Amino acid sequence: MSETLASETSAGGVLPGAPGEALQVEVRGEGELQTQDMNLNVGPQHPATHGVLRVVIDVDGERIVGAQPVVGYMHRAFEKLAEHRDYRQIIALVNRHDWLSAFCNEVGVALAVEQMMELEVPERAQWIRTMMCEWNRIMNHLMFVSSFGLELGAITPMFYAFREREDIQHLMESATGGRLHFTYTRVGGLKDDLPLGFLKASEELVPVVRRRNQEYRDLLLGNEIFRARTKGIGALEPEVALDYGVSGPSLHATGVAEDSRVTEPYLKYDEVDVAVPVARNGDSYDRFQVLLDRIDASCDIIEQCLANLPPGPISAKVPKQIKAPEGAIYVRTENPLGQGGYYLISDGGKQPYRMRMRTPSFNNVQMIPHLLQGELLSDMVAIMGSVYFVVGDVDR
Amino acid sequence: MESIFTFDSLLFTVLVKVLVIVAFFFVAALVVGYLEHKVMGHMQDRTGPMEAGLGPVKHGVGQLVADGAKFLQKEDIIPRSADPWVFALAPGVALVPTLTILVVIPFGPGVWAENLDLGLFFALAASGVTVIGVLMAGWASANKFSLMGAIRDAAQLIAYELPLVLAGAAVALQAGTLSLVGIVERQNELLLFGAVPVWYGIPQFVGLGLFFVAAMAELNRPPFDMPIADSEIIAGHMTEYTGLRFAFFLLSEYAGMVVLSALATVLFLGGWYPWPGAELPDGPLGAVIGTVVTLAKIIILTLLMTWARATFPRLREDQLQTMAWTILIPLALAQIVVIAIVIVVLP
Amino acid sequence: MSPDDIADLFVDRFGAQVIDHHDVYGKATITVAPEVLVDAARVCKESPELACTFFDFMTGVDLGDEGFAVLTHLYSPEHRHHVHLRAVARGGREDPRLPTLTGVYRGANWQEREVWDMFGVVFEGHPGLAPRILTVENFEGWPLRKDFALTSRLAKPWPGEPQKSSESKTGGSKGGDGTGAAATGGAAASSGAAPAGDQQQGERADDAQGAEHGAEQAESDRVARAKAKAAEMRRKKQAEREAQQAQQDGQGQQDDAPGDQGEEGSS
Repeated sequence: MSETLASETSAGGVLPGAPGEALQVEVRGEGELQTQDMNLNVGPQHPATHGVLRVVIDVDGERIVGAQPVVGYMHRAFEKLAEHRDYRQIIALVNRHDWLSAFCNEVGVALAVEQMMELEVPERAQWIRTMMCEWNRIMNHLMFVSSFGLELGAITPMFYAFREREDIQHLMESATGGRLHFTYTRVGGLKDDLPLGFLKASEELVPVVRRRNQEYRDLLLGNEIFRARTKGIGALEPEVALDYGVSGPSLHATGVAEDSRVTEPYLKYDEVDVAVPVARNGDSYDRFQVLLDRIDASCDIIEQCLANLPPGPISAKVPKQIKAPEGAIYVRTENPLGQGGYYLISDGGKQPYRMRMRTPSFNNVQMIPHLLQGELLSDMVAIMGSVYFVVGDVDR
Repeated sequence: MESIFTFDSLLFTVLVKVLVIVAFFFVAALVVGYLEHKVMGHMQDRTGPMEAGLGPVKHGVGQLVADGAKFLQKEDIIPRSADPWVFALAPGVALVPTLTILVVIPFGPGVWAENLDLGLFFALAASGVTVIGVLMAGWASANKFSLMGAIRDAAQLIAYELPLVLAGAAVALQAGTLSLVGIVERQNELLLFGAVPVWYGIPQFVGLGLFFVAAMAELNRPPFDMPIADSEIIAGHMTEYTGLRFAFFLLSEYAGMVVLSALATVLFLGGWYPWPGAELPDGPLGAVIGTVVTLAKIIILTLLMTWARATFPRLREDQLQTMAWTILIPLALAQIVVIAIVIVVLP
Repeated sequence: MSPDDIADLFVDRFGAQVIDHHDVYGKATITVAPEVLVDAARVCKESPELACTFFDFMTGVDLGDEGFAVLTHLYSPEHRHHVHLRAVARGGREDPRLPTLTGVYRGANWQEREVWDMFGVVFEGHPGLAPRILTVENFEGWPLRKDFALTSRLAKPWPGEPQKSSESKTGGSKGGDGTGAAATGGAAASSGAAPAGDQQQGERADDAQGAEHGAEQAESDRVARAKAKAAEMRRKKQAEREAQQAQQDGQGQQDDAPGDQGEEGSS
């Protein structure tokens, strides 16, 4: 028996559970065995949601029968603001939507403008950008290594992962002056050259990161409970992933090795060996494994960058007024969380006419209800923690 | 043997016993809590609390006292839609059973409050009452997360009380008594193969493991902390609590660690005897040595629990139930059968 | 496939319904009539030559009087080519409408909700555009339309934005609480930017005057003092620069050394 207790609400983006709003509740069973789904608001302030994502779930006991992410709590109108900033200011702006991948974001914008202006960026700047992208990637991934463990109840990996994160942060701070929002890129090159000692420190840090990465493998992937919690949980099919536009580790875990560093190399990725770790099952375990493997892959790239770094200028000659010629361009980069992209329309002025930010988290989060359906409440954290996203990147 | 806290006046005796138990309860919980802070800190590549302390002795020794003072000052919030009486009573209901178990636990020769003939029975029965406080808290909070936490806790208790009791029963079977003092003394007389003095932890190593795992599950210690899983259901039944009431829940967790470790010590690890077959001198000296030995064993066991917390991720509720019903309970039953046969056949 | 091949394929398939096509930095941009948008997307996804299975993103573009275009970016991981599928919404600015792509790509759901939220383009057949996905539920207006003013920019000009400074003056002189805030903001922004000023000096002088104008009505003396000081620094600086400026006038755009750029950025 199934009946609708309250008024029909339109499907799709309904916000169940808002005060005074009718709920659509399904009643199952007959007589005394009737059960009623419980409507549970997870977030916007909940430890498992990394910020202000809200997921409204319907649970039957502990089993999730429906889920609806509600986003927008952190909408900061970056796309509108970008229409009122010049390109140099936009670089400071795009640092902020995905604060864990700040450097990769700013490179994306710079690449778009440079391509439109047909600027030739000096070799050294490109190599440094490549290396910094990878350092940023490791920093980002370590964050998720730590938080995923924490969500599954393992507190120790967090403290461990933050050691290396801190080291890398120091390293990047020495070059860029920023800990989170680097703003190191400029259209046409970089803000400054690398400081003295940076290369040596990088060389020393890479083996440390690699060694500690192996520790996380032992600590988490090798743990029986961890395996039991993640294997087969939230398995994503490759077709569905592509259909939703899921990218990054979540896509690679399904076995699709789409990575624009390889398929459409930008910066110096065509001159280094880029390993794209993939897995097969697309479940939480695979997503986490891919994440750890990506850290190793990034270490390899950094070592190649260090070996190939040429001397030379770090910025091209750019006009005083940066004005992108009229037209439109789409530049995509492989950000730590997935494919990031900027679709830039210029009317020839010094501000873009329209700048669309394609963010990996938006598409990834959209897919989450697909994975939550039918899983247990406890699995929700294993799924949401392994579909890596940053709320600012979702809401922009 | 009489309890050393026995005096001519009954009233005075009761008063002294109650004072000693309550004092031990708080001090033990603070010490264990502090040790957990520090030891887990060092396991995690950090130092733990370093500031609060007494004069030159720092290293955070006063941290939990400071925490307690802080909890005292916090506003005591009772949610509007909560059931105020049940909500207010729940922390006490969760705390008192742990306190009562201390009555029967022997810490040294003569160092106990009461030597009940049914000591083990009393302790295991009382330990199950805590869940009522948790259920009260979860239901009265009028919070979905609290309710889920409380229900998880109840389900967990049903699953784990059984192996806990069965493991205890096997010990009682071998000792031939339910008195905890009796169990300690009989245990020290045990000779494996008629020659090697051992404690019950050796022949009943399965029981020891079962008891320890079940105790951790019953205390909601990681990796069995689903009822208060912070990343899933905020803090379970404690979500709506603040101030002193919240502190009571924390206190009952730490005190529970002490009590169940003490029970494990008494049942499997020879109680107050430093080694199997040891003899303690009579009088105050023996009581002191015995108490120190018991406390050391308790601390070692609580540190093991802390180690588990720093190492393992959390199990899932259904995985925990599966583990209890398909592994631990059959194992416990099989162990009882084996012990019974051995007891009957061997002598 | 190359962008030209992709365009040919669409022209073959849809004939005159393909309104426009061109190659944008190596990516095919195909503008189709709204009637065939869904079919075109389906062709993109299902035809083996295109196989654009990766749904990337969707964005609205304000075309002014023409209305709004919606651009969908599709990508083929197999063939490694891109298709920008573009359609101009029916109904002009008043009632822009397009058919939904949710039947073809699941990812279109939220992307269309966002386009509706930002541009007010209604996607017919979408399972539920409301409530607004990014803005607040009771938000009024369509923020990314060009006629939607960024009010904070009207009240307080962004440093180095000459075309808005006249608006800011009127906005500021309307008085009330906004005035003080605008003046303070202007003072803070301009004093912060003062040492950095280079090619934008001339433009910034306008700003300073605008802010000065606001300061006359400011309630707080402190604000007025700070403002006057900033403006004075401005004038001094400008005087220094005027000589240089005169020299540079003939040159128009001038190359910038990387070092200078760094300085500007750090301000």
